[in-house]
Parts: sequence; structure tokens; C-alpha cells
Amino acid sequence: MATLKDLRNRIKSVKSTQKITKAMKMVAAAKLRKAQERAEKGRPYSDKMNSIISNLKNSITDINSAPKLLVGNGKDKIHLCVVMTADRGLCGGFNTNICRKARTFFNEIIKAGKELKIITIGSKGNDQLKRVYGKYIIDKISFKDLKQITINESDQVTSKIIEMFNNEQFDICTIFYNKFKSVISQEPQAQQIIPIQSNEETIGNEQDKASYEYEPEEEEILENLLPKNISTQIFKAFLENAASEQGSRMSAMDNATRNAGELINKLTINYNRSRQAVITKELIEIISGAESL
Amino acid sequence: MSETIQLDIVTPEKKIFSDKGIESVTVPGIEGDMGILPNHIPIITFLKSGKIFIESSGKQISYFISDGVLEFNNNLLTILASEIYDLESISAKDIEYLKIKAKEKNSKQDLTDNEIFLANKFQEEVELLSSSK
Repeated sequence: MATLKDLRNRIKSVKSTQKITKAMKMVAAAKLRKAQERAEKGRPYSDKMNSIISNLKNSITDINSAPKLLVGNGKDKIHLCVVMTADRGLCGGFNTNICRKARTFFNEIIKAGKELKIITIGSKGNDQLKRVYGKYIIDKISFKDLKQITINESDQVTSKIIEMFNNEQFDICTIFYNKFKSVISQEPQAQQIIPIQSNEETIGNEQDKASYEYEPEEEEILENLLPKNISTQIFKAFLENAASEQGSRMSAMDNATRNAGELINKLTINYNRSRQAVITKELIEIISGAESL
Repeated sequence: MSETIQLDIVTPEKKIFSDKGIESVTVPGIEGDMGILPNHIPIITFLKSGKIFIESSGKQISYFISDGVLEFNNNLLTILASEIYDLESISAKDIEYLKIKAKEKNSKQDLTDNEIFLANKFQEEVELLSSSK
């Protein structure tokens, strides 16, 4: 049985762990509010961008002359997967969920005999994937030093991806990130960004809309807008990811704090009981000693 | 038919402006300045750097935009801007930032004619802006 001192030390160490998790929870809660606000404010832009693109897509009559970024280059041999995770751990299942989603997708691709290329954004995803899929990882990007991701960073990533696409280094590009639904629920997403996958439903609805006047020509607009759209989608993924990470961390830390509390209660009861036992034992010794006299 | 426009100005980071009682909007379209009144035909166009004037019930609001995309349909006007500032509240810091951006854009290599034109235009506008402040 543990001695009193052991128990006291245990309680002390659990208490200090609880302090840390509590502090992390509060920090995450404060950051979450900001991140959530950013994610929600960013949504109108990406939604509008999407609707403009789908409008334009509908107005294209000749599929063959359409920009490749929009309709793809007709092949689906080489898949590029961009896995976006956090740079920090201790956020519950956040990183694992993305990686699990990505892994299932990777296995399907490999099974189908297609070529796989991986870019990881955020160091945690890289750590989790490199053991099994290390030879497929062609690049790892990390914005660890930055406090806040801005559109500039997503532009950087985008230009890299587009350059690769133009050099025909891949045919289809998919990004993996966590969509922020609420503080306690985040959904790992796989979104295909090249070629753009549009919702069949929206296409049906858009078709009876008025036809647009374009200035300059449709093709030129598309050519300029498509990279922008990809950058917007990636930026959106960044924002959603940031909000999800904080939400996930907050609930993970909340759980940890609660568990620590429970553990402290149990240990305290244990401690008191053994303390009482020691006292009783001493009393018995004294009394029996006195009786024998 | 409604006689006013619903205008939304959004950036990747947030919604800058949203109002539905707008009477007219003047924007720097890529092929020349363009005024938009209610019931304009649907249009999608790029914007170059310059000023946006919004007129609603006698008041005039103006913005400085670096570049963007405009969509108008069914009296719903959406401007997707990469950088946009309210001319009333633009600070010296913002102008400094724009200046750096303009320089960056201008110093890039292998630009198409169109891009060179836009970069020059951007620099011009920023300088105009800073001298008027």
C-alpha cells in the first residue's frame, strides 16, 4: 500500500496538471472565439466566389476549350493530397481525425493503382503520416511561427499547387481539413479543388438564371478567377481548421480538467482513509500498551 | 421592381459593407469606370484599383479598393475585394502597407501586359491616395 507521503505527492502532481489543463482550456476558449469569428466572417466570400464560378461554368459551352483548372486535364492518374493539420498537439482527436480520413483515401488510391503525392501542411500531420506514407510525401509546409494565417499564406500554397498542375505533376488535387461545426463537433472533410467539383443541385438551379454580361471575356475572367478561387478555398480550409483546432483543444482540455478533478477526489478519500487507519493503529497500540501495565 | 440595390462588400477576412437601400454605385471596372443603377443587366467583371462611390439616400460613402471581382444580378451587387479601406477612416499605416504591396507587385518578374498595367495602376492610385491625405 502506498504510504501517506506517496499519496500526498500524487495529489500534488495531479493538482498541478489540472492547473495546466485548466489554463490551456481557457486560452483555447479565448482563441476559439476569435478563430470562430474569422471562420464565420470568411464564409460569405468563399460562398460568393463559388457561386460566381458555378455561374461561369454553366455559361461555358465548349468543354474542350475551357481552362484546365476548371474541368481538369481529363486524366486521373496522379492524385495530389494536401493534408492540413495543426502545428500543436494536445487537441483531442483533431489531428488524428484528419489523418484517418486521409489514410482511408490514400489506401483507396493505392489500391486502384494510381499514383499518390502528398503535401502536408502543419507538422503534426507530417509526424503521423510519415511513418507509413513517408515515400509519398513530396513537400511539407508549416506556418508554425506565424500567429495568424492570412490570405498571403494561402496564396503561397496555391501558387505552388498551380505551378505543379501546370507542369503536369498531378491530375487531381484534394484537400483534407476539419470543418468547424460547433465547439464539440468537427467534421473531417475531403474536398476536391482541381478540377472543381460542383454540386449537381446548384447547377440545376443556376441554369434558369439570367445570362451574364462579361467584362472582359468569359475565358479571361475564368483564367484569373480560378487561381483566386483555389486560394480562397484553401484559405477557408485554414480558417475552419484554426477554429476546429481551438474547439477541439478546448473540449479535450475540459475533459482533462474534469478527469483530474475526479482523480483528486478519489486520491483525497484514499489519503484520508489511510491517515485515519494510521491514527487508529497508533491508538490501539497505546491502549494495549497501557492495559498491559 | 425594386428601386434600390442590395450591396455586399466582402473580403476573405470579413464582410465590410452590407446594405440594401443603395441608389447607385460607381466602381473602377477593368475596362473603365462603371456606374451601376438599380435594374442593371446581370454582369460579372473585374475591378482594378481605385475608388468606389456608394450613394444611398443622399449620403455618399467611398472606399478604396486594390482589386476585386464584381457580380451584379437581380439588384444584388456583390463585390469581392482583396483589400478595401473606407476612405473616411483609412490610416497612414494602411497607406504604408498599400505602398509596400504596390512595390511588391511592380517588382515581380514575367508579368503579362495586363498585369503590368494593373500593377502600375495600383501604384498610381496608392500614391494619389497618400498625397491627398
